[in-house]
Amino acid sequence: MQNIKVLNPRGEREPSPAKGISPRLSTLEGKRLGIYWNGKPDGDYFWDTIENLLKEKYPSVTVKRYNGPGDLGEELAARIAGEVDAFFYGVGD
Amino acid sequence: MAGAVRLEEKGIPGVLAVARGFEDDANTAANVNGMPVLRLVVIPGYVWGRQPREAKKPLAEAHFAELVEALLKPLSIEEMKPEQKKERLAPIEVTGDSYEDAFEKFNQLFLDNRWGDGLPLVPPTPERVKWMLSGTSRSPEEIIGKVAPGKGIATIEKIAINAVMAGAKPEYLPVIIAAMEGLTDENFDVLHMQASTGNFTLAIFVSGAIGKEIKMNSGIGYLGHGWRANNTIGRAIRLCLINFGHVWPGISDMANVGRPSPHTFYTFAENTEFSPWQPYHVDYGFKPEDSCVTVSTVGGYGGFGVSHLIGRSAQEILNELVRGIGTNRRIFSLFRRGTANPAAHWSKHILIIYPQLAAEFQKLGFTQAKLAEYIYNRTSVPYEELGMDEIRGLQERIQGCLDGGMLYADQIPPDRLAAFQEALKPGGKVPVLISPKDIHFVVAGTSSGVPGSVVWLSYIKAVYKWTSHQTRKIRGATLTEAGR
Repeated sequence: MQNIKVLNPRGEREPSPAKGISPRLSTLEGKRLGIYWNGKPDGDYFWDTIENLLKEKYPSVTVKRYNGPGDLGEELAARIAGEVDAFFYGVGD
Repeated sequence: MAGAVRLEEKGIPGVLAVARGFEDDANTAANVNGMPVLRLVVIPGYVWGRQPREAKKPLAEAHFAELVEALLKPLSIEEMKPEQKKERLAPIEVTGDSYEDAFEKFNQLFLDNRWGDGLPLVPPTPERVKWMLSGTSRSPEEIIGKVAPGKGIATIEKIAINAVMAGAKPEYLPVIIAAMEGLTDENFDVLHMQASTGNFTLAIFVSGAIGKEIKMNSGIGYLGHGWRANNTIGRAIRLCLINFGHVWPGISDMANVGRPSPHTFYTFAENTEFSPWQPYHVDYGFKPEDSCVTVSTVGGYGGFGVSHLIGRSAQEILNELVRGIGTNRRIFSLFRRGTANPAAHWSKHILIIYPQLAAEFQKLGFTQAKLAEYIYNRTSVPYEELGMDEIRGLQERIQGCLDGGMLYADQIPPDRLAAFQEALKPGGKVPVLISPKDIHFVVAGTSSGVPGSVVWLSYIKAVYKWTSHQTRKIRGATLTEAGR
């Protein structure tokens, strides 16, 4: 029998906090919905339809659209968090 | 994906909508960002469909209910309090009937765990890692930085482990460490190079005396095989990026074809012996006697030898370079706010030229910096020659920079914004690059009279951070005269 003992090549990661997600809404009625899109071509057509469907099926919902990089960053996140009750986060690829 | 986590952390419930094929990528990113249970809706043919607006309508209708449900369906216990996963990175023992059997098992285990690159690896035994560490005076525990997207921590010891696996020698280790320092710099956009669907790769070049001392090839075939230093330095960096960035093809490295020179990158040394110029790094604030390594993300299959330029005068070749870089002008009109169009991003260019051509440029009075300045000025477009669409695009871009929320790839950095505003007026000249510093001349290749080539590597400047180009001083070497 032959043994080879080797060291682990992986870069260690700081223990991940594994946070839960936020409680869901009980209803969409009267809520402010944010749609964030990272700008990849053609995806805005998809979100245009979603916005129209929301307005059609939930007339009391207000929709706010946002654009920016894949990761919106802390500053924009703080702003959006103050302006919406829930969000769709669209990342093309 | 990190953006969705940011909003959830602020108490806003949401849904992450990704294109099919990116589920694993999204889940990996959610894990890395500490929120493994992020709600995901997967949509086929979501973007890049090259379809008219109407074609996206049925797709959106088909997924509408699922998107709404993800906002309303109460949380499960797991979603409220997900299980914390711990990594165990203890040494590993592999047992076989014979050494050959154990060696084979070791290689299969490492590949199965996504710790390798598909080629056979040298086992990183404690003895071999110790031998590798003899190449540096730096402490094995020293932390160099974290590598995106997995945020694994690069220490000197971990770099040495990967260098052993790559087949490197201890005298190469200080070069590999310095390259990793460049790649983990907080301003370096390693995420885009590691993860993008675009097939970007790395150029890694050494300037200064250490290149010759460790027998790096800077002459004929400098991007080729058969040179242990070039090949294993590049491979060690490849393995470090896999193992610290925790990336894997199709899971979190989404290059749709693969990255050119995937195992060793484009790794070479500047031909200091025959270059008429000062070493590359001197223009970047380092001393001529320093040895440095530069890491730079470069375009996928966009690097090419321009050998048809042979036989032309240096001035004619220069005109050809001006013409090529001048095509960057297209970004003026292609820019639209709110659209992430790679064709509208800023560029940088690395031109690897052979020593004889560098000597001819020098005879025309050019240093590297003067050449870059010359091309920058000649490619700048007089305001009066701009089309309406170009002026519109430039105005939108400047306004976007003032308003914020733009991709780094589209932005004009704050210190250059005034110059662009000034250029966009009668009498002004608008540059096609952010600055002359985005044109890099490196000398490598033959000096023997065999026809040389100009290798032209272009890339968008950077996407998620300010830069994709870093030069680092090599230090801590114990086995070479240079790089100590």
